[in-house]
Amino acid sequence: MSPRPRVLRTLALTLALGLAVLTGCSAGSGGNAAPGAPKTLRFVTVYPANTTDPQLVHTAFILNSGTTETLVGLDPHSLKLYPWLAESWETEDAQHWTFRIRQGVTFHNGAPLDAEAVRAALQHALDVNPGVVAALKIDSMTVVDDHTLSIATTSVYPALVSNLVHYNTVITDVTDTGDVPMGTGAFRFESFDPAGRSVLVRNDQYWDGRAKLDRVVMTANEDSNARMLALQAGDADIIYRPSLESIPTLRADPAITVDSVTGTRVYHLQFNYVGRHAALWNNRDFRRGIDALVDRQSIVDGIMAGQGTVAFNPFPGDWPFSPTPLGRAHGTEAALQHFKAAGLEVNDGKVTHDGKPLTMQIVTYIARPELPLIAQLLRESAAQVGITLNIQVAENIDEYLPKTDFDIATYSVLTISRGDGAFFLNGAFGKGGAQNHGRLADPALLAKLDAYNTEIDPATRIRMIKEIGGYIEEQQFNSYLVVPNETAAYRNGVTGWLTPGNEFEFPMITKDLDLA
Amino acid sequence: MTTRRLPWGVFAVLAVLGLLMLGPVLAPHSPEAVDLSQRLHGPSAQHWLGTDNLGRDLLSRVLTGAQITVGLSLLALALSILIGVPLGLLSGWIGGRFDWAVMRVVDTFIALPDYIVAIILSGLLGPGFVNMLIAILVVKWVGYTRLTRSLVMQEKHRDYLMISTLAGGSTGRVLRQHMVPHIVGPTLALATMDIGKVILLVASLSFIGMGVQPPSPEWGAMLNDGRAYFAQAPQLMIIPGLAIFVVVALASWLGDQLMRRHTISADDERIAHVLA
Repeated sequence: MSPRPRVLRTLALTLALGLAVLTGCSAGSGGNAAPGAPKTLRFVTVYPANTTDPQLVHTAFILNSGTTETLVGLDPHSLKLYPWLAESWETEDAQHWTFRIRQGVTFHNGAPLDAEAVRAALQHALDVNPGVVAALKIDSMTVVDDHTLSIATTSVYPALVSNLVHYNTVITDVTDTGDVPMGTGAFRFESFDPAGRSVLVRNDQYWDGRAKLDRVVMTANEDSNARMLALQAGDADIIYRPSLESIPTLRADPAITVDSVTGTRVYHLQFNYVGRHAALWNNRDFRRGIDALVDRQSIVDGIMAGQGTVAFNPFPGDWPFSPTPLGRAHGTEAALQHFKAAGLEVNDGKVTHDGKPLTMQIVTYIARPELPLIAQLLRESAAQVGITLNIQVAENIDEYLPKTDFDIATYSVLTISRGDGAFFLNGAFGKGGAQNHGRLADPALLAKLDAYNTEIDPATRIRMIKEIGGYIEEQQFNSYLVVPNETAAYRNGVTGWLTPGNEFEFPMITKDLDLA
Repeated sequence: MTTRRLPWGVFAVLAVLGLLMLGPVLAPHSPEAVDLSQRLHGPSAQHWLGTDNLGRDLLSRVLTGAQITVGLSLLALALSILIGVPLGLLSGWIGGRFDWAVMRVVDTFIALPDYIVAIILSGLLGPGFVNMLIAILVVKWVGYTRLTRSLVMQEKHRDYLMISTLAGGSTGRVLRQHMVPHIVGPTLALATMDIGKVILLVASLSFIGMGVQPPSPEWGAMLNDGRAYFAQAPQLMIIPGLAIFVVVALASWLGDQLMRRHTISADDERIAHVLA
């Protein structure tokens, strides 16, 4: 035998052995193959918890884990509130509330859930988290009996119930001294590493029925490529929010299902009403001109790979509170007409202001990868009408905007949050609102907002929010562009998964989740 | 008669320099022209290297981006030399407390890793062309100060300098006429060696979003933009990555040649920290 074939044969054998070893490793990584073995699901989400304190944590990791529950839940399909740990609630003046606490519920340590435990959990949230103080506006809490809690807010506050959906208002046994959150959910923490791997095991005493899975290994990884590779390699059963770019690749994999739902956030442009170009931004026609430069469908098709829907106001879609879009024309010609109406000079298709070309600054950020691309698309459209947009990428947009004299900011915010627009509207348009970076203070809008904030009747509130949304679009206060889809991908065999419209208001690990 | 053959590297350096200077002229399309109908296309007759996620021509972006990446690196190096060399000259010549003070500052900066300091500074100053320039300047000037000072210390006690001083030559004249010629060669050699590192630093800062702002076709920023599309369109990372590799390799080779010519060893303690 000549040496050459022998070398080739040795090489082939080595390769075959290597492949066999690799295949063996891959098959073994699933961990669910053995009959009778515990059903363990591996879930990779995006953001880790920064603390084990569920009332203080900055992400929804703990709520998502299905270990904790809130008094009020939000239905992912209808976005309507439903009683969760509270069986019911009532109020006559939207300032004094009575909550009936669900009976027969125990924490994971065996302690019963009662009104005092709920009060203690909410009080802990108020003590450690200023955000909860602002969101709940609780003045006092009184335990009426074992399962009745009375809450008084500092003023008439119809949004209290919807804000009890917040992940920092989960009810845990705060008297427990263990190092994991002691909730009431379908799963309990066996181990909890805020920076890494958490193991959940089934809570056999769960009040709403036994979970189908035995264990869940839940990790967080902010790198979307890493999440995708984990799923493809069989190291994860479900990943939350794969990158838009990876969706075609994942869809092409027959072993993987991609589930996409309309989200509850809106990508939009915020305008600066008090900066160096305040006179322009306070001109409705100028705002409409800038808005007309945006080709929303191109953003959906070209930048978001079809994973989104166009928006024209903060409450797009067919929700009861969604205003009917006005359907204004878009494109360069429409924009030029608006600019002319705004008093700018238009010559040869180019816009000038006081005889000079217009140069503005658009600020964007990378946490939402589509936003810098939207900024570049708008820059290109603006250049066609002679407006120069200089792009500035900020690391932390919420810290950057208050310190800078921007003209436009790309922004992303939950608008349909908590089944009630109060949280968004007050934050985005209220005086000093945390998301009102353009410092808009429109008297008519503020008056509508004040009336909305004190309205108690749910049907009237819906009518009012619809009217406010329509007014915002008509006035072109900011430019609402796209609702990005929320997406999850899972391996075949996973059942009972429900992709939520956002990661902040829903459990992801539920009792219905299963592995075939 | 024998003819001396020029090494291949010289041709490669000249070719890259030519592309650097003529890049924007040679670019077949505008590097910033967005065309979403052409996004993520592979190589074609219209777009030789394909298009990126916004439908921009990749070849045009790489050609134009060369001037930004390499130009910014050269500017940062030139400014580092302009600050570092005179300071080293004065420090070595004057000596005493001034030299001690300058050297302590230099030691402090040299003790800190270039990348960490540049990233922290960029983070504090914010992303952008000027801020990145400042960040690179802060980490790079010290090497030239230290090198120049070492060369001055070697030469300052030579007889010819003493005679020049005794003959009434001013400090400026002595330094200019007698010291600068000793410094030019080694500084140039080191700068050529250093340029590869600075290009990598520029590209790295842009890669992590702390460099030039979009839609500027800086190579590091292009790498970052292409990262999300690596599975679908690997050329978005491979092309700018190759461009960085070729330029850095050539700059390193050129620096090596110049160092040999000036008989400087990379182990020389004067420059070891610059090359570290």
